[in-house]
Amino acid sequence: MGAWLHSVRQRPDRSEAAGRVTGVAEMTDGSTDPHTVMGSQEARAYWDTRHGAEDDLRSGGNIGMSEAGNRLIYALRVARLIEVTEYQSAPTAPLRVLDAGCGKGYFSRAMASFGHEVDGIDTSEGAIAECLRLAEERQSFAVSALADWCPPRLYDVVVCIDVLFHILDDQEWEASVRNLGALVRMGGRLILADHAGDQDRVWARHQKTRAASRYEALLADLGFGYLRFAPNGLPGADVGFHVAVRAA
Amino acid sequence: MLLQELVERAAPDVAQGIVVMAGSEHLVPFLGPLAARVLDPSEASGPVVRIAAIGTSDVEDSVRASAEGLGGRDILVLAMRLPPGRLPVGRLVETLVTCGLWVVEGAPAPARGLGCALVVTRDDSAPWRSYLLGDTLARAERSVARLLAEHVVEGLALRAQGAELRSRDRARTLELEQVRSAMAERDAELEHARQEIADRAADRSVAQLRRQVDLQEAELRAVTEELRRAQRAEYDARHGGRVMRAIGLVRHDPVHGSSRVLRSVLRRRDRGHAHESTSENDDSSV
Repeated sequence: MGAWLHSVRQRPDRSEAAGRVTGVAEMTDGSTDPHTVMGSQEARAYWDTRHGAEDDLRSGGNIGMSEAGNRLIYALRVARLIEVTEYQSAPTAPLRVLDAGCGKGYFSRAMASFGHEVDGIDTSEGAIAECLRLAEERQSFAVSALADWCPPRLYDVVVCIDVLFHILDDQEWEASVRNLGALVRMGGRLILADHAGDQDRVWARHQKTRAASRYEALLADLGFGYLRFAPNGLPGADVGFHVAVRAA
Repeated sequence: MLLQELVERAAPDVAQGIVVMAGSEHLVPFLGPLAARVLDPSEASGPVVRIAAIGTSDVEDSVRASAEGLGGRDILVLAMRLPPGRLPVGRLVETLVTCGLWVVEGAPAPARGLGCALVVTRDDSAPWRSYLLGDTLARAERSVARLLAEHVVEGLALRAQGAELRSRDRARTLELEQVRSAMAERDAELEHARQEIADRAADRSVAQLRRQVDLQEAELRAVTEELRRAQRAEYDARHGGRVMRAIGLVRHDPVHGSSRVLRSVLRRRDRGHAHESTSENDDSSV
C-alpha cells in the first residue's frame, strides 16, 4: 500500500491544499520539485527502503503522521473497504480477494479477518516477508508487481489501495489496471484508490494521480461497469475508491 | 448473505408476495419484516417468490417437487440444509436443468441450520447476481462469452490445482503415517530403555544391600569373637586360682588332700555358683 493521502495538519492553507494528494512536506528525499517523478525502479527501491525503515503503519501510510494518527486513518479506510465490498462474510465459501500492493498487509489481514480468502502482492520483499511472518488463516502473499501477477485463478474482489498513484509511469499504470481487471471474474469488483479529480496531476516525485475519466474509460474497455466513486471522507482529501463491476 | 437479503433482492422487481411451501414454515422467522408479505398459496395471483426447504436426503426429488407449478416469472429460493462443500453437484445441476430452471444466485449459510441457498427461475431473461456482492448481470453476448471462457479456462486450471492438492494431500498423509510409525517405534524404544534403566537400578540396589549385609556380618563375627575371648579370659581369671590351690593341697597332703578336694567340689556343685564367691583363703571352700 502506498502513502496516505495527506494530513490536514500538514497544510497551513487548507483551501490551497484542497484536492492535493499529498504535501511536498511529506517527501523524504529532500527534493522540492514535485514534477520530477521517480523512475519505476527508483520508486520500487524507495518503497522497499521505506517499508524496512518505518513502522507498520507509517511505512505504507502517512509518513508525516504519528502511529496513532495513521491507525485512525487505517481504521476509517477499512470501514470504506467494507462498504464497497457490501458487508458480506462467508468463511465457509469465502470471497476471493486480491490485495494488490499490500505493503505490510494491514488491509489483507483485515479482509481475511472478515472471512475472505486473501492474496496479497507487493514489490517490496521486506514488506512481503513481514506479511508472511504475520500471516494467519486464509492469507497468502507473494512478491510481484501489479502488472506481473498472473495466478491460475480469478478473484471476486481486487483491491488496490493507494498504490496506483505511486506508479509514475503511465504505461506501467495502464498495464497494472489492465492486469488487475483481467483477474476479476464475472460479477466481481475492481476497487482502485485514486483521486476524484478529472485531470492527471503530479503531486510529488513519488505521487501522480490520474483523472477519474481515464479510469472510467479504461474500465469500460475492460468490460467493467463503473458503479461509483466512494470517497475516503477525510477532510480536505478528494481521494477514494473507484468501484467497478465486471459485467462482460 | 441472509435469507431475508436473498428474498429482498428477488422480491421487489418481480414478485407480488412470498409463498412458503408446506414443510418450510420454520423458515418464516428468518425473513424478518418480509414475513408480513407471506401469502397463502391460494391468495397468490401473480409472480411470487417461493421458498422451499430442501433436506439432506432426496435432494433431487425435493427440488423437482418445489419447482412444480412454478410460474414463468416466479422466483424459487431453495433453502438447502447441505453445506456448499457437500452439495451433490452433478445431480443437482441435472435436476435444475431438466426442470427448466435457471440459477441466478447462490449463497452460503443464509440462516441458522441452513448450509446454503440457490435462487432459481424459469425466466430466461432474468438477470443473475454475482457471488455475495449481489451486482445484477445481464446475459449479453460478451458476458456469456466471458462466463464461458472463465468456466473453461479457470475450470481447467482448477482441475489441475485440485489434482495437485489431492496429490499433495496423499503425500502428506503418507508422510504423517510414516512419522506416526517412527514415533511409535521411538516410544517402544524409549519404554524399553526406561525398563532397562529401572532393572539396572534395582540390580545396583540389591548388590549394595548385599555388600552392607556382608559388612555387618563380618562386624558381627568380629564382635562375637571378641566377646568369646573376653568370656574365656574372665573364666580363666575366676577359676584358674582354685585349680592351682587344689593341686598344692594334694601335693601337701597326698593322703587326705584328694578327699578334701573332692568334698570341696561336691559342696560347690551343691551350693551352686552363688556360693562360689566366698573367700578364696578358706580351705573349706576349695
